[in-house]
Parts: sequence; C-alpha cells; structure tokens
Amino acid sequence: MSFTSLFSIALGAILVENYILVQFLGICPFLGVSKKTDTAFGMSMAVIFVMAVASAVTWLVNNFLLERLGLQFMQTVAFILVIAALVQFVEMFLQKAMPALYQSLGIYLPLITTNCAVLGVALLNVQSGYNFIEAVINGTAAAVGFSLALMLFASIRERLEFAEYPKSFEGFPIALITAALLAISFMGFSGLEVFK
Amino acid sequence: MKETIQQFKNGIWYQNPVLVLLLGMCSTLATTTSVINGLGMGVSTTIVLICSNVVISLLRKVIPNQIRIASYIVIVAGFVSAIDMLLQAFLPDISNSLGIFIPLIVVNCIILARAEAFASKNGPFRSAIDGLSMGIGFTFALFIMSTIREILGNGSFLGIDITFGVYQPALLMIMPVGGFLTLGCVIAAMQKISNRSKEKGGSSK
Amino acid sequence: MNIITSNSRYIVRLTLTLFIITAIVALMLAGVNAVTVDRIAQLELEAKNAAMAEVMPDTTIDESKTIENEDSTVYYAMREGELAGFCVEVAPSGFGGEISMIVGVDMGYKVTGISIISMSETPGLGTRAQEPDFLNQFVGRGDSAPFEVGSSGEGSIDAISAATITSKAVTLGVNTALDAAADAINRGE
Repeated sequence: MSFTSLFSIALGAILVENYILVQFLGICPFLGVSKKTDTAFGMSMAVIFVMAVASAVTWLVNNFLLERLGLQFMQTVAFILVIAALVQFVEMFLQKAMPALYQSLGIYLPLITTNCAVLGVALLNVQSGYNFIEAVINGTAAAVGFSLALMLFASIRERLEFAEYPKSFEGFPIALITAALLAISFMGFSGLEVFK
Repeated sequence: MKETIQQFKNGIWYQNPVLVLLLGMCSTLATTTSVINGLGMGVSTTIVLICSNVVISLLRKVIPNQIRIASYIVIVAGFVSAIDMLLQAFLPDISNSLGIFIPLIVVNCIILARAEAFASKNGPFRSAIDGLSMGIGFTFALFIMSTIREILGNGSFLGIDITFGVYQPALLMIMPVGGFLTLGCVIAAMQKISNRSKEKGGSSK
Repeated sequence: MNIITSNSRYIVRLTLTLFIITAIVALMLAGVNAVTVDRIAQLELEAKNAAMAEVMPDTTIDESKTIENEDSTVYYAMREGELAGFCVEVAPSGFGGEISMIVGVDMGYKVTGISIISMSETPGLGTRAQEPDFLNQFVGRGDSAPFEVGSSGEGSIDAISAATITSKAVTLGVNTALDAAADAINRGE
C-alpha cells in the first residue's frame, strides 16, 4: 500500500468523483443547509467526522462480523444501524464534552443519519474491496469533497440573494440551476490523474 | 372516500414529495437518466414506502418513543434489502442499471419522513394509501424528469430512438449537470403554474 | 435524551424491542435470501455463458482445460476440435465495485469482443461502458502495446466522459485478460 495510491484515492474522491456534483450522494443536506456559509461549515465538520468514523466502523463490522458469519444480506441493515448509533453517540459525546460545539452543530447531527453520502461511502468501500486504511482515506476524502462543494455552493447562494431572476425560479429552482453550473465546473476535473 | 382522494391529490400535486417537499433528491437526480431507470426506481421506492408505512403503523403503539427512529430505519432497511435481492433475482437488468441506488433507498428521506409524519400517527389502511399516493407522486416526478432527460440527452424514449437523424442529443442532459438543470426548470414550471392559479383565486390548498 | 436517568426496566424494554425487530427483519431477509440466492447464481451462470457465446461465436468451452489465475479465469474456446481462442473472465474494480466481464482473445493475441456481465457503476455514467461505442475501441487490437486510457500512443483508448475510473477499470480488465491469454498460449496448446 503505497502513499501514491492513497493520494490518488483521496484526490479522486474529492475532485474527480465528487460525491455531490458527480455521484449525486448527499443532495439533501447540500440543498438544505447551504443558505448560509456558517451553517454549511458546521455541517461540513460534522459530516467529515461521521464519515471518517463510519468508514472505519462499517469496514470492521463487514469484515469481522458479516463476512465471517455469511450474513452479507444483512449489510444494509447492519450499516445503517451502525451509522445511526454512531451519530447518536457523537451527539451525546459532544453534548457532554464540548457543549459549545454541540450548540453550533446540534441540529445537523440527527440529519446526518439520513445523509445518503454516509451510507453510500460505507457500501462503496465494501464494493470496491478497499482495505482498512484505503476505506478510511476514501471516507474522509469523500467527506472533504462534500464539504468543498457545500461551502462553494453556500457562498454562491449568499450572493444570489442580491441577484434578479424570474419569480417562478425563486427558492429551490435557482439554487438547482446554480448547482448545475457548479457541476459543469467540476466536470473539468474528469480525467484528472496524478502519478500514473 | 373523500379523504382518500385528497390524499392522492396531495401526494401527486400539492405535496409532491420531490417537486414540493424536495425530499429524496439523490435518487431523483441520479436515476433519471432514462425513463426505464426512473420508473424502476419509482416503483421500487413505492413498494418499500407502502410496506414500511403499513408495518410502522401497525407497530406504532409497541415501539417506545426513544428508539423509534432506529426501529423505523431497521424496518425500512429490511424491506429495501429484500427488494434488492428480489430485483437481482427476477429483474437483473433493472438491478444492474440502478446499482448502488437500490440499497440507498433506505436513506431516501421520503420514506423516513412519511414514517415519522404519517404512519406513526395513523392506522394501517390510511398509511398504506399515504404510501401509495406519495409513491405515485415520486414516480410521477421521476417519470417527468427522466422523459425530459432521456429525450434531450439520449434522443430516445424508453430506449427507442426518436431523433430520426435530425437532432444530435445533448449528452450534457444525462450527465449530473442535466439532472440539476432539469429539476430546477421542472420545479420552476410547477411554481409558475401554482402562482398563476393562486392569482386567479382558483383552487389553493 | 433522558435515557440515562430512566429506570433499568425501561432500558431493558427498549433494548428488547429493538432486538426483536432486528431479529424479525433478519429472519425475513434470510427467507428472501434463501429463495433468491439460487436463482441469482443461475442467472449469473446463464449471463456468463451468453457473454462467452457473444465474444467467441460458434465455439464450445472445454471446461477441462480452464485455468484459474489469481485475477482472471481463462476458458479454452474450441471450434471443430481446434483451439480457436480464449474467453477470459476478469473482474477489475470500477467506481461502484467489481466489473465482471468476459474478454474474447483469438490465437493472434487480438481482442475479439468484450461483454460486461455485471457492474454497479453510476447509472447513466459508468454504465455507459457497456455500450458498443466504448467497447468496440478494443476489438481487433491487442498485439502491440497494452491499452491505456487517454494516452496518444498505440494502445490509446478514449474514456467515457465523467466516468474515467470506470473506463480505466475496463481497460485494466482487458489488459489483464490479454496477459492471461498470452500465458495460456505460451503454455503450449
């Protein structure tokens, strides 16, 4: 397991196969919490943390429990339970240990359970046959890519408030058109590769 | 009976899960690259929605409040895994082309939202109707989206070529960009229609 | 949030309810799995046979000679008693998991056809690797340099737009198949 292959997994997950703009995973929070940059930042941090830990835990559960016992058909059920428990745990931990951070992240934490990027990364890690380190790197990088898209989008949307557009495009339609333009710019990364 | 009709109206138009409530965006955007995929996703989601609504409604008095979300998710995940395996066994083409988005039905917000907002408060029959009407609304939205995208992006409808050599399909429309663009325009059109009917003082909700 | 403060009997009830629900779901899934597992396996076998017939038409597979390599399986395709070529089964990793595919290689070390049996790539993007526009790039080539996505050299292959990982995976699969076929030829027979 060389450093370069880990680096290319990470770069691929952040830019080339960006979860939001290329893979369509995690669209709900992308549209839901992108009205202001500071809430978007809070959500990003929470997602990075949960996705990194979820990648690690689901990898262990899959390799040491499900595969050993021949229970692959329970994969989805097991993963979503792990994620739900993890989010609950993070919530309780933050509440006790870091109340300030909990205050700012509080409302976004439960939302992460139904963020399909988290379950998506867990399932994709297994399907791609990643080892433990690759899985964690992929999970973290995918979450960083998620945050990158979310932050960019949020800062554009803040400025959008001053723009003029047809009345029927008010609200989500204009946001979706913006997202389309952002997706076009990310298409420029397709084919990008480092260390052949 | 009147209530049932109202439920269907809500599911398909006034509270359309995709176009008005903006739930389940991931599968909406990702699987509407062709009409057959869109319909496959819509029908699979509808089946899961009806089953989970009925079961959750039956169990609503048994499940303690604190663990309700976890219980709902387990029930939904169970149905989704079952559908996944059944599709693989009996409709392998659909299963292949929808790929990872079948297991991801679990985290489709529509299902949890209906479980929490409707099935946990209503009886099994009405919950089933709610699941069916929301599912139809979801499928309807997916059908519109995929029709637009398949015609513009691939020059075909249900896989049948309709360009007659006159029109060069814009590949962009079946790429991620096309998903965002189409959904934006469809919702804008919908808002336009409801704004107009409001101005006329016509039927509001 | 007041789970901690509530009495222990309540906690036991919570745990038990969740456990029973999970157990019932597990039982149901085990049932569905039992019903579908054979059929899924049979469908896969049929798909594999159809794929082999597609890349190596009018041949029969001599099962007794099949070579199992670490990353490929080489089947000997016989036509009228003579060895006509190989069907190589490979499963490179794409974006959404393994891409299971059959590559036909003739005795001149050229690709005769590629058939993708199953993939879990992104619908509409990665799944376009199944289309002839992409796969036909490989057909009839292979005796020179290994294939490479995006290079301008002899083995150049055009990637599918927005699905580079998938394109590379398929290309890797074809290269693996060619190597495996070359090994089989060198073994004699």
